[in-house]
Amino acid sequence: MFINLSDEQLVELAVSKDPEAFGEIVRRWERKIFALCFGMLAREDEARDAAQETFIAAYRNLSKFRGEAKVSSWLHRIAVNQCLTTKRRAKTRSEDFIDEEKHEEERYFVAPEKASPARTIEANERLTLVRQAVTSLPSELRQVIVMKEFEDMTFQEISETLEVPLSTVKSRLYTALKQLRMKLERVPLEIA
Amino acid sequence: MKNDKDIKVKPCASGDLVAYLYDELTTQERSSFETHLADCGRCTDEFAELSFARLDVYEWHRDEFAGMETPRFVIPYAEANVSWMDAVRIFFASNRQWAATGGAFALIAVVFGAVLISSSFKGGGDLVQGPAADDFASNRVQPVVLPLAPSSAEDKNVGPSGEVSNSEPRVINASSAEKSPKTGGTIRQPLKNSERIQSKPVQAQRKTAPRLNDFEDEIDNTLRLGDLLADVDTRD
Repeated sequence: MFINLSDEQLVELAVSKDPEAFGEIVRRWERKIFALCFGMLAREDEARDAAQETFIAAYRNLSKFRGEAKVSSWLHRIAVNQCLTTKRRAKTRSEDFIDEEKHEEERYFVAPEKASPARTIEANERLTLVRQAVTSLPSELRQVIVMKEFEDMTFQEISETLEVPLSTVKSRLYTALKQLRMKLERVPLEIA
Repeated sequence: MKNDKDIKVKPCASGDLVAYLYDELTTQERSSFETHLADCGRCTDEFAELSFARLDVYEWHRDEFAGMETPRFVIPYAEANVSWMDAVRIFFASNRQWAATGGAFALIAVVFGAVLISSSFKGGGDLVQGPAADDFASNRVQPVVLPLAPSSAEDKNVGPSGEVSNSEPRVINASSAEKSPKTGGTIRQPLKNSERIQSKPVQAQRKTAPRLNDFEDEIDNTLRLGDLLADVDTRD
């Protein structure tokens, strides 16, 4: 029903007539917003909560959206602010002598969400596409991705291992992620 | 201590975006970048794109590799330089059962070899020597002397059904006889049928021993040359 409408049209529809049009916006952007939150917070549970808060805040402020920017940028801005708020709260909690070790354990033992079989199949398909995309990267970009994501090496360690400047490592990683994004652009967002 | 104004973070720098994404900025650099990120729509969108790509790689790693068991690698260091003695030692070190079995065989071989060597030095060729062997030598079997009796006499001791009569005694040498607990001498035991049969070749052997007196004149019916030529007329 809402598939052929643009994001801006969906927001307009959600504000004026059909609040359920916002559901289509959530479906289109939930993964990207979650990725942004995960990139900022580096924790799945906090990123999930922040993404949830982002969409709630967006829905409450739909009437304030004037169409000067794209919906995606508007959502990104809300998500960044939400993540910064989350980080400030976490910092405050840690200053209030919240047990940091318990916090660290939560980082690695996050209860997985129960996924439906269809969603599992879609996630597997996406993993296959990601694997193909990473494999098709040039070797100097692929090795930086592997060293960073799989080996968990720092930029300095990668720089020493490959004997290249630190700025080159950052540049290669940036290029690798951009190329991956372009290769996966055609993958429908509802997958995964 | 640096102030926030002293921290140099280039606006919209790709390196800082990546460094922030992978949490490799210092606390002050991070704070400064977040302030910039909250106000810069371009950096926010760029950061969202990078985060999206990174999440894909992260999930790929988590779902395909995190639970994968690390394979066990065996590297054959300097395999070519191992001598045969080292190879044997390594083999037995890794197989305790084989080591125990090999040790047992080696012990048996040593004991057997020692016995063999000692016997060859003592007995001049006799395989078994020592106290037991001496007893055996002292009780060495003497020739059995049985009274020569005609075959008819032998037949007397055999019953009609073939059983042997116990009436005829015999003398058994010390080796085969049981010593009497009272006298310590030999005792007489009746001959068994099988022993009687075995004693015959001894008699025959002694009877047929070559002696000059044993030869008697007998009628010689063998053909001679003179007999062949007896009827030949040799007259002129």
